Amino acid sequence: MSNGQNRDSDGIMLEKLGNAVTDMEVKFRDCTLQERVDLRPLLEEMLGDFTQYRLKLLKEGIITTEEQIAEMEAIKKEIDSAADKQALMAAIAKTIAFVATKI
Amino acid sequence: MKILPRFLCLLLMLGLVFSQASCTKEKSEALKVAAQTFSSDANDAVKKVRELFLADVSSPEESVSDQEAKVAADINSLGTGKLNAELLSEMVKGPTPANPASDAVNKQFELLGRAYGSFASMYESLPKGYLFAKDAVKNSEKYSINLTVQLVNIANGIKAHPFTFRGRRILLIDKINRARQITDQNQRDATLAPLIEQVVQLRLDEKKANDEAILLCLKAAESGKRISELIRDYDKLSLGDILSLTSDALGFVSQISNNNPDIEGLLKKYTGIRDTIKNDPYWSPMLDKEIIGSGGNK
Repeated sequence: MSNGQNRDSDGIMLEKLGNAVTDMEVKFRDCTLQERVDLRPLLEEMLGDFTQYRLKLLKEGIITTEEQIAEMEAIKKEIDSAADKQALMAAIAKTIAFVATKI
Repeated sequence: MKILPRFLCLLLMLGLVFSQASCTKEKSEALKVAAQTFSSDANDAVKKVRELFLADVSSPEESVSDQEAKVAADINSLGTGKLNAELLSEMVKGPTPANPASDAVNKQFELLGRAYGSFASMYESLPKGYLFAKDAVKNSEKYSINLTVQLVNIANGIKAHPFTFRGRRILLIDKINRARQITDQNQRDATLAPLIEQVVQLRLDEKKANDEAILLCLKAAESGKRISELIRDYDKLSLGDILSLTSDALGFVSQISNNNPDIEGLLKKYTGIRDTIKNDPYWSPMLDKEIIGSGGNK
C-alpha cells in the first residue's frame, strides 16, 4: 500500500525510467543498422520495464479482477433467473384468470 | 363448485403482488438505465486512459516518406559492407522498438472495460424480474461502490503521475538536436522556430489530454455514486426520487463542460467523497481492502 512518501519516490522513479528510455530511443534512431541490431534487446527491455512500472502505478488504484467479473456474472444470472420466475408467475396468473372466466 | 373461490383467491393474491410492485417496474427501469449510463461513462474514461497510457509507452509514428528516408540512410550506413538477412530484418523493423509489456497493458485495460460492461449487464433483465431480484440487487451494491472508488483512484493517479506523449518528445529531441548542429545562424534559427512552437504545443496538449482523462474519470465516478445511492435506498426511494437523483448528475456535466473546468477543485471534491465512502459505516465494509489508500492519492 502506498503512502505519500512512496508516491513521491514512485514519481521520481517513473520520471527517471521514462527519461532513460526516451534518451536511449533517441540514440537508437541515430545508430547504424549493425548498432541497432546490438542495441535493440537492451532498448526493448528498458521499454518493457518502464511500461511495467507505469502499469504497477495504475494497478495500485484498481481492484477489478477476473474473480469479481465472475461474481458480477453470477449476480446477472440470479437476476435473469428472477425474470424467468416472474414471467412464469405472470403466465400462471393469466391462465388462472382465463380459467376463472370459464367457470 | 369449490374450485371457483380457490381460483379467485389465488388470482386476488397474484393481483396484489403485481399491484404492490407496479411502481417497482419503473424503478427497476431507472436503475437499469443508470447502470448503463455508469458503464458508458466509465468505458469512455477507460478508453481515454488507455489511449494516454499507450501514448506514454509508444514510439513515434512516422510518415511513409520519413520511413523511406530512414531506409535510405540505413542502406548508406552499410558503406562497403554487405546486406545480410539480420541487417535486412533490422531495416524492416525500422527504428521502432517492440514493447514486451504491451500484452500486459492490453490485458489490464480489457479487464477494466469488461468490468464496467459486466456491471451494466447485471441489470439487463431487472425490469422483467424485479419481484424476485431484490437480494441480487442488494448484492450488486458492493461492485458499484468499488468500481466508483476505482475511478477516483485512477483520476488521482493521473494527477500524481501524468502521462506524456513520448513519441512526440522523442521526435522533438531528435529534431532540436539536429537543428542545433546547423552552423548557419539564420538557417538554424529558422529551423528551430517551429520546433520551439511545437515544444509549447506539446506542453499544452499533454496537460489538456491528462485533464480530459481526469474529468472523464470523475464524470463516471459521479454516475457510479448515483447508482450506488440508488441501490442503497432502492426500497425507500420513490420513482420521483430516483429520477431526481439521476437528473442531478446533469449538474456535474455542466460543471465540466465550460472551457476551464477546475480540475484541482473537482479532484479534491471527489477524493473527499471517496474518503467519506471509506469512513462510512454502511459502505466501508463493502470496499475491497486493497483499494483503500491507493491510486496516487495525495
